[in-house]
Amino acid sequence: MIELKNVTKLYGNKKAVDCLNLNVPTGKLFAFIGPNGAGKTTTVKMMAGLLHPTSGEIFIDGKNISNDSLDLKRIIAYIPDQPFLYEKLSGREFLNFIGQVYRMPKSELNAEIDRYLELFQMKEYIDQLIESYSLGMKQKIVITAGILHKPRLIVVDEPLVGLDPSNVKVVKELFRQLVRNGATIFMSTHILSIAQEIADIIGVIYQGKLIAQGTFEELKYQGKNNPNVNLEDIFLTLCRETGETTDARG
Amino acid sequence: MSTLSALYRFRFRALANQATQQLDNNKLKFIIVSSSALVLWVSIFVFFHRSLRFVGPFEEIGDVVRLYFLALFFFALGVMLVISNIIINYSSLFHSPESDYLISLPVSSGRIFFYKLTESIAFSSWAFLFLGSPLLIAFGIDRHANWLYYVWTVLFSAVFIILPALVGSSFSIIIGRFLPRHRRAIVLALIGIVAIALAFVITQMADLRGTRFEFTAGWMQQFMGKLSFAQNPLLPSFWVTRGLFSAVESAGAPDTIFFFLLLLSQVLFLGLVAHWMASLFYFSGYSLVRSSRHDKKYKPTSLVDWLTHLVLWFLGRPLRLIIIKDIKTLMRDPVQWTQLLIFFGLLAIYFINIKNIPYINLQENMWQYLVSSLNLVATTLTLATFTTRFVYPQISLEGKRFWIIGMMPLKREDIFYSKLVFALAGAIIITEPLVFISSYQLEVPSFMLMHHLYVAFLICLGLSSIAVTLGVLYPNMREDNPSKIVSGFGGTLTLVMSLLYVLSIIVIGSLPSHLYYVLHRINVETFMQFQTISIIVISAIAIITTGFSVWLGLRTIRKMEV
Repeated sequence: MIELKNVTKLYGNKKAVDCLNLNVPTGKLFAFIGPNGAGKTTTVKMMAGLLHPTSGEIFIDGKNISNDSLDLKRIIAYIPDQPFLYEKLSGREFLNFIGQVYRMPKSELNAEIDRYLELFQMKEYIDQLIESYSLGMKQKIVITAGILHKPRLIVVDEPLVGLDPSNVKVVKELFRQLVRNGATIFMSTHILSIAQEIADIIGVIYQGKLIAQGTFEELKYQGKNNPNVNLEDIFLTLCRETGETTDARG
Repeated sequence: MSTLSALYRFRFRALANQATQQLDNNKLKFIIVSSSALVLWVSIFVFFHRSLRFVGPFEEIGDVVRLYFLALFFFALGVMLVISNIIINYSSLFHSPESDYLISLPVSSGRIFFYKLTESIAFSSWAFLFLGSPLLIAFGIDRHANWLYYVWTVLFSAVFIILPALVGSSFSIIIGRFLPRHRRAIVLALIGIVAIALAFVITQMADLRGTRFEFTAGWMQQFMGKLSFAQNPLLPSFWVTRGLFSAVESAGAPDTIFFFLLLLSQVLFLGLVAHWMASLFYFSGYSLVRSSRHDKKYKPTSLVDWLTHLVLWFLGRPLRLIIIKDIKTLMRDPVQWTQLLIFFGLLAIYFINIKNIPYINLQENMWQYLVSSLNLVATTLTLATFTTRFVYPQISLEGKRFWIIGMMPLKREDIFYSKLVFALAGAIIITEPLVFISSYQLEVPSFMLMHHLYVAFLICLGLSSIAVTLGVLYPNMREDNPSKIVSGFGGTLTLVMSLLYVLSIIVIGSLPSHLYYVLHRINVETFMQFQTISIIVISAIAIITTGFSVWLGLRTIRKMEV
């Protein structure tokens, strides 16, 4: 579903992503972990078509994102870490807006909205203006807006910011459900326990380079095969081995 | 339903929600804002109407003056709108969170571009509504035009405001795509262009220095000839002027139809060009702008730190640190301070060159008084708009970061005082030298110079305290964009109160001089007595305004919940 070929991204003279090669098969949840400033958000933004690679190519569903961005955006959902919302619209109006941009049939749109209102328990405040929402309420709206049109690929940057434990559980189950239904999820996160718990494949990025990739079991093997090791230990070992570890616990 | 219509529909829905919310929550706010806008419009209308009536009796030159006036007005408005559209479109297309979001949706670059273009046209039409419509209506009334003239006015205006928006937005796309890392240089280049244009006009005027000022057809022709650049037939502003001039004579005149179609064809052509450029360059430009990061490293202490600690030594260290933070924040955002530089820079250029302007007879005290007072009015009114624009949002801009200074081991009152000192120092540094230059160049007597400097100081004091206090009373902690903070109720109220304050100080402060120099109603002894009384009165107004503002501001900030 996702293929990155020798992707490099420069910010001025700084290399944010350095010759990154990556493959994510269809129907998998890929967790992208790395310390602050490692290049996670830049990679996510390039996959969403917001930034263009300085060199290299990104293919989504076999199509180059730089050439077919508009077609691909119809099958991609991008859920950013700092979401934009129209504060003077109500939650329902915003979801209707998104549904209409994706040209969803009205009956299907209403059914999907009702389904997620139930799932995230948003009925009580969905008709109030978004400006009155808490961070967690906004995050639930953003996630709903992202998956409303049933995208085949969901690119998500720090999806659990501001959510309470019960909603974290709902989102985790939802993501697994979407993957079971055939969607692919590319999730950038700092929360290593979540990555360990729900990801099919984990990629570790450090200073713009992919330093490890595989299932948790495969990574554990790289972590000297200690049966009690967790993803945090593996992550810290990998970063230490590659260079100086910085701010890994984010 | 197309994507573009969904975007427009939900934008209108958001605006309608906002209007309903405003009306439900605060009807008084709505009434004050609407009535202030109406008073402003009527004042501008009266000014234009009287100006046009003034030239009416001069049959030989009346039409020439009107033509030049309209052509110059549309030329200046067009230039202003192009510059503002470049700034608005650049930040809206490349730096707004909404653009980030829209680009991630399946919306084409052309559609995002047109959606954003509509926004900037809406901003432009506000400027046109307040400046253009009073002039055009006054012109129609003055020339006894029939109703068709007003229809043409609407048509010409509607098409004319699109033109600078298209030019400005096209420029912003080019800047984003081809000069993504030169934002500061572009801003400076814009200032340079404005300064060169102004220098050109002043040089033209300087040629008239040797001529004696007489309000005759010959002199006016010569004077207007220096402004003939606005009559260039290639300028769209000229097409509007000529079209409306014909419409006022005869609504169905071929000239009116010709110039309207000419304007319309250029708008359609530029629309195609702009769409083509947006389709080609917008997404790639966006990526380039977002990929350009300034890696400049800043020293932990700089000249600003050193100077602030030195000059404001009498304030507590935490206050000085907050002031330094505010100065650095302002200095590192060129989009903010360049507006300040352009307007006060233009005033400075004008004051420095004031001797070159031919109609001033510097030997007469009346002219010295009149021109120096008008300069004082211009400077302080500009200051009022800038204290509203820059000082009022200071507390709001702390916004989500208010906890940083809120949690500091200092009194809330100190935060208020830091903002007040920052505002007052800035106002004095800008205003007093300008007033001094103007008075010095006009060679006014020393007591008049001292009087102007004192009046300017009182205005600085009052305006700073009004802006800081209303910033505390009506904060908007959710918004990070100062322009949007100012456009709310608090900003409007600050502007209205500031203008009222400036006018009251100026009118009372200038009354004795006006009676003595212009109307010759009082003798020198009475003038001195009146002057003393007026100084006492304006000092009292300033002390009461500042004292009440500070008291109210301190009381509010102590109880402020964030």
